[in-house]
Amino acid sequence: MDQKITAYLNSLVAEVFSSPQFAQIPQEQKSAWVEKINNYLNGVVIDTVIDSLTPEQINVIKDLPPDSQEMEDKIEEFASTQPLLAQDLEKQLNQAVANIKQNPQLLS
Amino acid sequence: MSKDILGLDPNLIPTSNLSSPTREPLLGDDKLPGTSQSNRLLAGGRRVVEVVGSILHGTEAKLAAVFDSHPVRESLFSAIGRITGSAPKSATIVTELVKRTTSKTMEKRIFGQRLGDMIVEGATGAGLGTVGKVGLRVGLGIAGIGTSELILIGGGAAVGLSKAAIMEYLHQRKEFVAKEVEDAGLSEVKTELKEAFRINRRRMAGAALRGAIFGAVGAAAGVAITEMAFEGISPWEWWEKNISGIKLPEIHLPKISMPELHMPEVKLPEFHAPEIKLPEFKLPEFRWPPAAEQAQEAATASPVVHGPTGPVAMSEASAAPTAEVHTPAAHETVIPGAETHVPATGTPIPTAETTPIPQATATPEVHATPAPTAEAHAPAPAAEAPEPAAEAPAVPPHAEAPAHPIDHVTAPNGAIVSGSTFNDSLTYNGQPWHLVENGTKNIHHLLSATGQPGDIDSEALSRNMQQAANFWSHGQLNPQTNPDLYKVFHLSNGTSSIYNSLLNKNTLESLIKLGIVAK
Repeated sequence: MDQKITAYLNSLVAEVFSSPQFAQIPQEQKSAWVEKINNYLNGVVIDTVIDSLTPEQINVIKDLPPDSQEMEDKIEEFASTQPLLAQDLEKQLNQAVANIKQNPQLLS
Repeated sequence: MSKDILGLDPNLIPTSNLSSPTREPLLGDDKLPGTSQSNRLLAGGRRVVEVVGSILHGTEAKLAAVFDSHPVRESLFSAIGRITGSAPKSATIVTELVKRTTSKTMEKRIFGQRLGDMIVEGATGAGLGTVGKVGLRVGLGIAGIGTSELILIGGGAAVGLSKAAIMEYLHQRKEFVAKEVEDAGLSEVKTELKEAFRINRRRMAGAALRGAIFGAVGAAAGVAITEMAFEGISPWEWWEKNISGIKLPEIHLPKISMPELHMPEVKLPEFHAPEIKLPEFKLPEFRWPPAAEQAQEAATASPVVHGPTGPVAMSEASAAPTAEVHTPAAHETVIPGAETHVPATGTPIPTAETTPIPQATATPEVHATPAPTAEAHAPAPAAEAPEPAAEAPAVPPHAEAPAHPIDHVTAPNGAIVSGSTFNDSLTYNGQPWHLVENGTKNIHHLLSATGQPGDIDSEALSRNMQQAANFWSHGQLNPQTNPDLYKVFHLSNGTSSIYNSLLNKNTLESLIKLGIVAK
């Protein structure tokens, strides 16, 4: 599953690099940009999933340590209760890729 | 172009179902609460929820039990099939609904392609469920995921849910949830959570994406259940009819292998623990000398010369190396009156040589405050040791050994030796030095070790020990000039390694030669 997710995100990053602006980046700087793009996309995912949570779900996680296993489990559980969240994430991520391509300054 | 998040071709998703002019409304426009596609979808789904949900109510536990009783790959479909079979009403009722709304062509497109693939994913999800707590519910599609929403989607898909309709639904849901969150006063909490998650975006984003995919898979399973109910067949039959020939992905549970544990090689000192018997640790009887005598001793004492490691080391240092001679390290401690070194049981306790305990090393306070403890007898640091071999006075071999009492002689290691073994007045730095007592014990051990019966002549032992003490206190005891005395002395006073090296017939011969043991 995680491999599928990684492959999916990698395909988004590759799409960014296929744009004219990013195609000019020297090879030695690419890894740093990959990190920035991934960070940005992960932020989009997080924002999307939090925006989808109900008040009850927010109340459950609001006091959990943000980097804890319990928090991770709850995020996964709550995300799985939304059958259409995958489509929403896909839409948001596609939009994010388009935005990055148009405006790389978003990553700074 | 990026792939679908599920790895599927987005073109397979139908996009214009609800807007099709040939499509009939689910329940008729006059019964819908709105006219938009989303309202229609919601209303249709809500009706499906009412029907299917009532039938499935209370079956979660049964689902889980059935799931647990089946092999992983078949569990999803077996469980669903049994539940569906146990609720025949659903087929009739829901089939009537779908007949009114769904064209067969569209039905096949949905379930035969995209959702068929997702069902395969669902099987994978069920497999994952065996190792993840989320998976069971998601893999089953019904038992755990928000049932109403799942079946809503199932119903929506059954009536031909378009991607546009899905997005509209999502938009409406977001607005609805956002308002609820705001009404609950949780908007700031939500913002804080977003900020907090920036600590480890990758981890939490991964969890969210996993959950989202599980949710989609579960939804697909729900759609399939609804479809099966529509058609009045069991999911397994449906599988055979529609998906047959598609090979299920092999489920490979992660192989867990314990890392080889390589303990770092720890070199322990020579410590023969199993052989150790704790000795009776008797503190030597200590009598403080009169204050006047102490003052006199202090006044007449020669300048302290720090020997290498005490009496044993000093005497050995003055000797030429032989096979039996042990050259102790600086940390070895020789303790006079050494019941602690040579126990009554005959098994030497570990000395500093075998257990290099920091306390065993010398401290400057040793001479200033003598106390009847091992620490008090600790020798001076080896760094101060002179080269003893060159300074040792030469004694002719088998020279006549003096047996007279020692009168406050400063030994090469700085210890003050005084008294006689004959009246048990021999002292080492003012403390009783039980050479004869220890010697008697250890000679018994020697006799036992060599299998030689015999009595010990106490007088001869006292005499020879006194002679040995005289030699030693003057730095003249060494294994070449006085080999027999050397052995008897160290048999009573040596470190454990020396003691062990003396438990042999050569030492016995020396004892016999000295008249200590009868032949």
